[in-house]
Amino acid sequence: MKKDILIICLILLLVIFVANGTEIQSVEEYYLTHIDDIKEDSETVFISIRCDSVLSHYDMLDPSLKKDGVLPADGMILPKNEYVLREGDTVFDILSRVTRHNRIQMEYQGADKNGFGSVHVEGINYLYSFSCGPLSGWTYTVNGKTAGVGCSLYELSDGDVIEWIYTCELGEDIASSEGESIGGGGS
Amino acid sequence: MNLKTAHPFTALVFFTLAGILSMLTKDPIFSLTALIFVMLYSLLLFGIREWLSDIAFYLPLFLMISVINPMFSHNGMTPLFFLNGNPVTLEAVIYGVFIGVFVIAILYLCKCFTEIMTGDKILFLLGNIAPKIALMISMILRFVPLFKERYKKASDAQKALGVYSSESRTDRLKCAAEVFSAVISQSLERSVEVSASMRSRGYGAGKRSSYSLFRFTRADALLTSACILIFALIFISYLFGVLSFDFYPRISDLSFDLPHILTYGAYAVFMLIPVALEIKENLKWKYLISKI
Repeated sequence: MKKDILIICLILLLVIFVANGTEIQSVEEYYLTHIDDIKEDSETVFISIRCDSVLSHYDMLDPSLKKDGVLPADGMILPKNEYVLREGDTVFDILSRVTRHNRIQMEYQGADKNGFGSVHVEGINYLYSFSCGPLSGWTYTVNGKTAGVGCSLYELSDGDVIEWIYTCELGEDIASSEGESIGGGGS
Repeated sequence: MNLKTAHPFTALVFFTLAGILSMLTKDPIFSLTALIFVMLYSLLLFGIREWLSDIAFYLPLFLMISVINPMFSHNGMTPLFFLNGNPVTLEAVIYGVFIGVFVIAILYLCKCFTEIMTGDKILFLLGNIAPKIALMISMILRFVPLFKERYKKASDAQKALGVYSSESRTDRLKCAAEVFSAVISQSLERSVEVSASMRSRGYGAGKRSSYSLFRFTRADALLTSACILIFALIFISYLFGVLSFDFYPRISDLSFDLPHILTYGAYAVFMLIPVALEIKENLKWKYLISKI
């Protein structure tokens, strides 16, 4: 009997340990992120998220994403908008804050889970890598240029313009709104 | 005639097509139909007691599968709550339940398969084409029931020796684990012995002949062609996209228009075949007994 009690205590301890490490938030709580107000002297960046390349490759798109109301009709998931830049913010920090604030679904792989040492953005707005052909996925540009590093390694500075773009042909099909086509480069 | 007494080829055709159909689509109505009929069939095959003890095993498995999916899959449009910053979505929960139903339907189907397709039937079907594979399959299928039997024997013997007499559950669990490991090593040893014994008896030395009493009757032909016909009908509607169903990012709407109802009906009829044959056979048996 003594042993039984001991084992039960151990299991209880384990359960408490696991429960301690989990944090449950309601939907409202989760989306309630604080976005700093833009003041005269605050540093700001511009960010937009778009997937218009999907519209020109519509036949390759995963049928489950063709349902009404999943993807925006004009391919603009988040129009260009200005947000406050906090000290040391990377592209990923801004992205995660903005998607939370605008209630856009985003799933990512943490920097410790892959070999690049950077966060990998797997999907935004239910659009994941490979959802639109074998060469599709999310990539980003800063001031119209591909960064060449992962999104959680790129530190932003005042006035930067970030574009998150969904490509269907490994970057060959998309042009930044600033001009020039973007080749290669992932996120 | 029921599937047990039917020609092995007929039974094989039924189980192969049933397996393909149940894995063809993600349509929940389809999986639910499969589960209901397969459970009904196994109730008829194994009797109420084994059926209930099976449920005691499948229910926790079902719950485990259903809970695990939403923990790892965060796709879906309706978040219920957030767990460590990751959404647990309604779609993922429902998909988990669907996978649970699906897996358990397949497991039941496999259980019925092993009951119907005994070793001699498999040897008969594959014996001339691929004798080694046939032997291997029949030995693999036999492994689990044999293992259960051996475990029961060893456990009974240990019980008689007073191994489980401790009051502590932990101790008894430990004893069970010891018996389990002993039975595993015994089984491994036996399988080596079996192969040595077979070789010494000349297995594999030359071509072997076998004799079996299976005859392909007209009823078998009828049953086989009915199975293939219904399968073809369902497959055609599948090719036309009637059964396309997705859970992510939003669950497709269930529709009950004519093509859907016809397809579901055809599938129900397909899965009803063995059940109906079994019931007919049981009634016949009761009737014959009552006449004695």
